[in-house]
Amino acid sequence: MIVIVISALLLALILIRVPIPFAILGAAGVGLLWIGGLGNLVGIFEVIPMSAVGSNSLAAIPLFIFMAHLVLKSGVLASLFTSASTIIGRVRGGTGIAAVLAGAGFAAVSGSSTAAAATLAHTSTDTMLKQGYSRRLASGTVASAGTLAAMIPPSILLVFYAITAETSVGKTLLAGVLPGLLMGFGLALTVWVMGLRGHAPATEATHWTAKLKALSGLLPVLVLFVIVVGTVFLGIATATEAAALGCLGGFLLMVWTKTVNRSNLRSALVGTVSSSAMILAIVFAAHVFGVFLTETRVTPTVVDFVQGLSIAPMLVVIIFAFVYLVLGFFMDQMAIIALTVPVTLPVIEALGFDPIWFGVIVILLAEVGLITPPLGLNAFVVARAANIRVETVFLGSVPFIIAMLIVTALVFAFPELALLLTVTAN
Amino acid sequence: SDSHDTTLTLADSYPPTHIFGASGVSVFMDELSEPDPEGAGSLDGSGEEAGTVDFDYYPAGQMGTPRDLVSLNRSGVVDISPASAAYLSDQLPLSSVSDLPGFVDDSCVGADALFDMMSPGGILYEEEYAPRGLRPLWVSVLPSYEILTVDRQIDRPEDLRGLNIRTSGGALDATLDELGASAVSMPAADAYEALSRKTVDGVAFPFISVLPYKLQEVLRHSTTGLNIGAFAIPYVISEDSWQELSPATQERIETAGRHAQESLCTAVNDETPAAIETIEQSGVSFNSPHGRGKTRFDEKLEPVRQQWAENMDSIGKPGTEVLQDYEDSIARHERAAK
Amino acid sequence: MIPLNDDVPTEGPAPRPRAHRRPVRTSITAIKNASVVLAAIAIVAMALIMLAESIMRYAFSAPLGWNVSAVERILMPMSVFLALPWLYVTAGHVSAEIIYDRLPARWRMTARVVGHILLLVIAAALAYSGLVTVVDSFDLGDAPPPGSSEVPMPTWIWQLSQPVGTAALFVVALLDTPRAIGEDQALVEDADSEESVLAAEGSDAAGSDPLHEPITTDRDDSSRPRGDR
Ligand code: NA
Ligand code: NA
Repeated sequence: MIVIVISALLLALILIRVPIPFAILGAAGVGLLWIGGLGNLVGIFEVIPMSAVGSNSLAAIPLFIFMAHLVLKSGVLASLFTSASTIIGRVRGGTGIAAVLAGAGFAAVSGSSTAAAATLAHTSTDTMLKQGYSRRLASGTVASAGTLAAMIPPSILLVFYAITAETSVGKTLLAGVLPGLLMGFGLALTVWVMGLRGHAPATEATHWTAKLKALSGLLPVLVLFVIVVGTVFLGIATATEAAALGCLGGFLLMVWTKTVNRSNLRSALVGTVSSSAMILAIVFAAHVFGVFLTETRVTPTVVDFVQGLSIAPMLVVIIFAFVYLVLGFFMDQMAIIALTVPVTLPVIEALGFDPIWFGVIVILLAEVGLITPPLGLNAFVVARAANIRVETVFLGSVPFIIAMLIVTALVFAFPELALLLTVTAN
Repeated sequence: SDSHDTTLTLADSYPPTHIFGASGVSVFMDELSEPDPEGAGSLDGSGEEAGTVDFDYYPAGQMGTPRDLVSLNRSGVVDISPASAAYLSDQLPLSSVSDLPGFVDDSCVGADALFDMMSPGGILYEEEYAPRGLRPLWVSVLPSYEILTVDRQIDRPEDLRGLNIRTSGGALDATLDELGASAVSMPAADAYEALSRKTVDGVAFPFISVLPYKLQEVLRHSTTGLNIGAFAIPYVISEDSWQELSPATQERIETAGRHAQESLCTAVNDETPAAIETIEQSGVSFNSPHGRGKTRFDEKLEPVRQQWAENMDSIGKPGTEVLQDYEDSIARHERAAK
Repeated sequence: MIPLNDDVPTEGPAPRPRAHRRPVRTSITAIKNASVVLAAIAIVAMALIMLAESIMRYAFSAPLGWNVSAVERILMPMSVFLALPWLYVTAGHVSAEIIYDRLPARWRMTARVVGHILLLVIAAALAYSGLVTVVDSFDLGDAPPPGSSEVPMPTWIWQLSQPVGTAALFVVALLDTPRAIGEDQALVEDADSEESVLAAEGSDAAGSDPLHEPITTDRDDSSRPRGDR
């Protein structure tokens, strides 16, 4: 009862545009007052916010964000799309496929879907439109390619899920690799199929020397990815240390491209502070909300209820999956994880499922919400950057949403896709 | 007679099946949730009967980290929580005396000796718990920490050079440092992965704590008979909560705390041999340093206590006095045990 | 604001921000700049410490030991709490504009007032709670003893981040009240840009603003309409 009232309050606060961390703190605050009075509220405010952000594993988030900003400032990402186009060569729908490949490249150094979509929109939509792609297909390709960043490591959402679910951050990041690549393949295949139906023209063939040259343009991104993911996979570094290594790598890239200057460094730092502080503010707010949930004992109640139901465990996961898909339409992906995983994960674990696998499913589904109405942020960003109506982007995303759901279904049916690398990791 | 039923919130970071839960917390809670068998309160002339005490129990770190729980206790959110010096070295530095090397092998002797010092009038209570508004109800001591490693058998302190050893923090860090190893603080739950990835080379653990984390699966070697330290965990009630209780209820709670302490130390003593057997069966080889190796260990461990006391003295805390008190208290309880 | 039904989804002329009086503006800018600088220092320090730790551990088999407590207790809280005033000034609102924009003007006004008061109350509560712990630790003299693997710094110092950051947030938000509850929703800094979209998009904001010129910390005075109202 109290949980329902407070959740409704939370939703209302978000709807009247209270910034998400304060909406969460406000709703949780009312709940804590309700349960234990002012002493309860102040006592928890004394302890939980500081403790929530005081985590060595969580430090991976600001460091991965910093790394992405440094790489961005180095300028090596600017040529991702043209390099990808050259490498793809003569293929039906080649330019769209190149956009997906560039999205995967961006994903390999950045954890943010929306930033990826924005960059891709600037660099690739025009080219596609000139080649006769419909506005729908061009913008839908770019908006969905952006979502790869949340699955291919580094992924801010996977790090955050790992910390919320108390799974190993390193293993959870590794679990995103194969589903992320599969998703990239799925999106590229979608463009190709659209090409078969005449929506996307074939591209010109390119000479192998040009391909080789283009490949060397992708090399910095690949090397950085291999260093970050490789050190985690080999057990040489924790995710946080790998992120710090990534920052060093990003800085060295800036040195290499001679882009180290005051203005670039300042801009990278300012961007990092903005993104990371917003995410971590949601994190500590969500922790306070988590203590409220603990005090209501809603989690054991839900676990008992679900275990008492005589339905197949798989059906429970399917119901949860559907709920996450719908939540993704309306809510911030970070907030979804923070507010629901403390309740859903114990159920999932009680039913004997793997928490890392569940996390991959949750994030795949929540990401669908980034390209669906009403609040698909990637769609808005692409619409604005490419000067296309947002409804057009939403319509253009439909085939890609189908591809994403098929990939999710595959990961659902074959948990090994997510878990293989986590098991083989040292 | 009017029977006051009270509800207290108890939060800790161990699952109910952990020895601290199964043999400590649940003994304490079960006793208090039953009606007072002696009806003690109604007979003592206070006219008040000690009612039953119900608990809101949040085990397994549901309410926060071990450090959080102490803060939440002090800030009035929970009534009872553990407060171990091992992870509160900035707040309870003197109480880490229990973690110094070579004191006790018997959990009951250690717990009784320590509890005297943590009770009103005792030096640790007056110096550290009372000023923070905390009152220990029972304490558990896991004695006899040994060094368990993956690759290398430890025969002399020199074998530890360059090894990263996981500890729970506190005084044990300084001890390992003295022995030449690098102490790495991490939650016990992370130790399995850290060992299998060789992020750490070994752990400093009491045998009884190895099994819950399945560390025997990744460990290959272990010392015995070194006793490089211990872990003490008092469960404390906040003074504010305590003062709200009727004297009769306070008395019941004190009694239940004593029973929890007895039950817990007995369980620790009883389960240790079985734990050693299980660890041995999973292929861990035990080595008791002797001869020259043992002498070298003694040479290294001997000054650790003194160094600890001097460190405390140097910041104006009665380190020497606390150390002396603990030694005396142990001697007293050892005599009593015989 | 994200337009849903506009035919061309580019920003129109940004609504003219309700300008603050000069001393107010100067104070907000000063706090905001200090906020982002301190948070940035914390993040760079974390990167350097984690690198140093990796190098010491693998190259010299001599881990720092104090790195974890430095990151967990000092730098992470700094990077979040001290950044809150900056975040308040620069971040936009993205969530659920569609509902808000459909509300009648009077309701929108109420929503803004409620939201702003809530933010002020929470900032004050966080500042007060944080101050209680600082005073408490100070009075008790909490500090890691010699020989501990923690950063040898009194506990109350690292506990300062929360009260200082949230008190600064409270001051900035209080000074900003006339604008925040006014009808035009222009942010103090940028009225409407992807920058605010990206910065405010919590889940995914890493690598934000690839599209934008750096948000320099000294730009705002020139970009904001001068003149008092
Ligand atoms: Na990524
Ligand atoms: Na309390």
